[in-house]
Amino acid sequence: MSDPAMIVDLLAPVVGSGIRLSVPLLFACLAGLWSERSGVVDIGLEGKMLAAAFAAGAGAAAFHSPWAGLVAGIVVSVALALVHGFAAINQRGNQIVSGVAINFLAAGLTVLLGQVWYGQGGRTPQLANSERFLGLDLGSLGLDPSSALGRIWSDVISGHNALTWCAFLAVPITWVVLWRTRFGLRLRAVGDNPHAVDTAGVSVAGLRYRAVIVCGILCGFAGAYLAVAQSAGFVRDMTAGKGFIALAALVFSKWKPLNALGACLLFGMLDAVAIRLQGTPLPGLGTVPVQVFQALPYALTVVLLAGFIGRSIPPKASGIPYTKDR
Amino acid sequence: MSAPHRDLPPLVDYVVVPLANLTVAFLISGLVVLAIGENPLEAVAIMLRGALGYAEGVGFTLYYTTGFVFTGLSVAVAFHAGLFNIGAEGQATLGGLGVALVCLAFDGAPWWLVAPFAMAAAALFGAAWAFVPAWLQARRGSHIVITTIMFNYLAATLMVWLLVEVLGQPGSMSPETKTFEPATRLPFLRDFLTPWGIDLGQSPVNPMVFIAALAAVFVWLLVWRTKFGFELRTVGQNPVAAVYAGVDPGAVVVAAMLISGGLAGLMAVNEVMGVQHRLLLEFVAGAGFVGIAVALMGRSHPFGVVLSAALFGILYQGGAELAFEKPAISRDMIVVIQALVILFAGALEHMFRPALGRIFARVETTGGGA
Amino acid sequence: MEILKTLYRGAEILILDEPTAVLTPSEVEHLFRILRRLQGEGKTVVVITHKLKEIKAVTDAVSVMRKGEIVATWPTADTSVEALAEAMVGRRVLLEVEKGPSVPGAVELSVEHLTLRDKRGVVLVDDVSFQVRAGEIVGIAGVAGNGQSELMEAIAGIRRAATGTIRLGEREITDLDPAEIRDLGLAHIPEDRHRMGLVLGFTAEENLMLGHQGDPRWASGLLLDMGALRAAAEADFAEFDVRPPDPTQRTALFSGGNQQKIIIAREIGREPKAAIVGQPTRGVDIGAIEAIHRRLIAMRDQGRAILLVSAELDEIRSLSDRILCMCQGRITGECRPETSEAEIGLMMAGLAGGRREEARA
Repeated sequence: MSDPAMIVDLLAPVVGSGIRLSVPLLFACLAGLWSERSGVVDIGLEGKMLAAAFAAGAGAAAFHSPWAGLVAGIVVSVALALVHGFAAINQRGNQIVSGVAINFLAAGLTVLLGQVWYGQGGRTPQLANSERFLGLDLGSLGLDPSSALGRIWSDVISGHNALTWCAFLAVPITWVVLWRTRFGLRLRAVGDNPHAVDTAGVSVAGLRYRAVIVCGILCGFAGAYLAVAQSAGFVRDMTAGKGFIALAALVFSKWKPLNALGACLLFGMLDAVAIRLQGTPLPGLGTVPVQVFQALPYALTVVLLAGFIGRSIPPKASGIPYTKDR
Repeated sequence: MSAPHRDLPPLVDYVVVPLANLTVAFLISGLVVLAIGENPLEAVAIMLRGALGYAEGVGFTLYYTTGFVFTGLSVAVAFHAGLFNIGAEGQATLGGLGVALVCLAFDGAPWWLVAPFAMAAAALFGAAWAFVPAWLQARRGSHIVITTIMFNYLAATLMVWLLVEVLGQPGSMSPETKTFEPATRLPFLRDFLTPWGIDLGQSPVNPMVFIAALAAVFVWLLVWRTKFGFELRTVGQNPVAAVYAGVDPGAVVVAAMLISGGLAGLMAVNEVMGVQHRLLLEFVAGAGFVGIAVALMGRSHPFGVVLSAALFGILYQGGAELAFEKPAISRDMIVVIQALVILFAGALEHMFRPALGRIFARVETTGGGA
Repeated sequence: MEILKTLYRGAEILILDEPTAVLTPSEVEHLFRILRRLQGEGKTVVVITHKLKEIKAVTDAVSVMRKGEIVATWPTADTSVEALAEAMVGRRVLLEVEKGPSVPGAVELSVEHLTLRDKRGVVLVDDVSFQVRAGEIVGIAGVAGNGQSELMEAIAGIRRAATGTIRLGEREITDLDPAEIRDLGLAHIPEDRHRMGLVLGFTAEENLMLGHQGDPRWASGLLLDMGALRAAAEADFAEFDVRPPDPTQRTALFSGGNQQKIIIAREIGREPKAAIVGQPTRGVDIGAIEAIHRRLIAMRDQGRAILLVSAELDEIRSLSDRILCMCQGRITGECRPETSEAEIGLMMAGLAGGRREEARA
């Protein structure tokens, strides 16, 4: 085990797979960040992602293009986001309840329609490679593919698909827009102190709607990634709780984009390690049940929420419908 | 004029508005059925016949209803304290662990001896799973919605590990405990009723249906007829007034969640000891989440919870029949209906109030003039 | 604050409502510097405040509002703090309340060197001492937001004292919780009935139980005795003339005056030793005001100690036997109810200092 080449051999594929597994988390986590920074709590990330995955699978199959799938995913996800926005912003309804409803709506409709349209137990048709986002080979850079650096290059950095690059690009974009533009500043202000923003003559509802739409777009990317990049089509309950892990990552990141990147990579790596270690004994520990790794994101989030390792405090006005004083 | 919260007569508030919300939810469900090329009216007829048309169907409906009453009451008690308990699913899962441990420990003993202990264990385990989120909410301000979601997933992974590594049967690949001895299982009501000429067929309804009814009465007494219930509602509606009244909101939050978790846990007795006769993965099957819909639609009142649990019982049983007769309308249709009910009876509950209020006001004035 | 600064960047008119309420003195200085700079840039700034010194410090012109009307407008340089105080308090006819001379007995409520701070350490109540005797009403006059609310909350046990002691009779109650203090015989009519005094979604009879939910009259058994509560509520409704006379109605449906009567019935109908009463007639119609005032006098005549906090100087003067003036967390003076409004106004503005020793007497 002391041979660096062996360590690289062992770790590079796990890190690469961790990155791939963290992509949907990152999209969804940033989606939640946009929404909650504006004061709209969203526990419907899971549902939007699932619906988007279904739409992306169906869209890509129908138009034989991954881009059509991406667009379909985004459209459906934004539509659900607008339902949530209508309930949360216009109707001043309970945002948790609305999120729960959207999760169920997506869980039910995807399988129902999938069964009716394709009759494969809720699946969408198997996508051909031309209908998917495939890894972009960045060449070998002249590195020896068997050397350590070559392995790191080929397993960790090269070979990711376009959506993966989008996800990592979304982090700095989110940061710049939310922290370095007037629009972003107002959007964050609306999540902290909507009255102040209203007093300044800016529409609270308008800002929140824009945030909710961005949230829908990002969830659309997350779903499309699952169905047309990572897999070749939609299968029922494809998200399998990833929306909630993204929610955990959001809490973990203290609602900040760079932290979100770190949290999603961490949770993605945990997942990759769990897959890699299935049934493999660890030196000194014996076989660690795979469930330990699966439970870690949730357990860590609870510990963080408890304030034992730094406090994670949401935007002040999140979850509270805004009512003008009359 | 904050129209959504204007006071309406109780009849409008408690009957007309919820019915309007429910109607819209069902109308849209009907459109979904139409969209997939089936006749919604025919579907309703099949569902009603399947759920209520014959004794066996009624038995199944009652069995579903039993579980939903427990989880619905669980969510409702938390609502009264101003808490959103999304964790009934995980609490019921842990309740199942409690039931299984008791039944396995006393395996072979007569059911009437084991049942009280199983129920106590179910409530205790469910409450224990609710305790950590409750304590974190009360003392450290961690949002209970997020923590209970996390605890649902922790419960799920814990169960996989327990059933695969600890409680699973040697030599068996399926993640479940051994099946309890027949003597330890709760009896089916069908076995009592057949001699009376009532044939419940294969329906698994068992004595827990009566315990569920008792639980509803218990919750009603607790919330509206005890000092603790008064304090619970005060904390839920006006925490500042609660402090003024000498109530510690933190203590009430913890107590409310323990009761909520205990009720969710009891749901597992119905499933594990009454129907499956062993502990298996995901035996809760979403009943914890149905509880949210049931509590919202029942307006957190035990009577309303029982009614809406029955409605969901009908939906689940009728939906199973429907999926059998019309394969195009799979059981996922029920999940869609459930989602629409949560959306319209919950998140959009105020949407029709202003309009209904206006209509009612007009009716009242013309009525007064006549 | 930073966010606000950016938001207001580019605004031509800036309106600030009590901008210094939650700021420390050095932050206030900072804010004033910003405001002066904005003025220099040709912007319009409107400051709403009750702190007369701030008016003098940053404004060019001042208008005084009272009961929703502008009663005076002057260039700031041409006016004095005294004139402002007088305009603010106004000259109004005393409401006639029949009351005889008070017969003060033993000290029932005493506050010694009480200091309160908020979470950030800002001093809200600063070394306040006073006593209220059985059979007297002590009024606290002061513009809202000068520590009166916090003082009441501390006495009721809702807010923790930083230093100082509070006694009810012989018993020290500084660190007791609200339930214990209530059991020892302190009634509390909170300033804001909607925020604290009532649960609007409850029925009136349930609100008659708020804070007394453990009263053995209805809570002796496992279940609440709803019949006993109903009987007590009907008796209270009759005695305090609450309308409509239906204690099963939702509290939100009662008028402000009748809601206040519900609170008063609950709090003073239970024969307390002492009462702290905040804004008892805010948002209440004339008829109910009279009834509430008569109740408080009757209570005094039965030998109870009453501490009255009100923003209505009329009310303070017509009900109190002694008046303490509070400004910025300090007691700035004590006087008889006959004292002229102008003089009380000066004390309320903290400008007739040096009389704190009297307040201790």
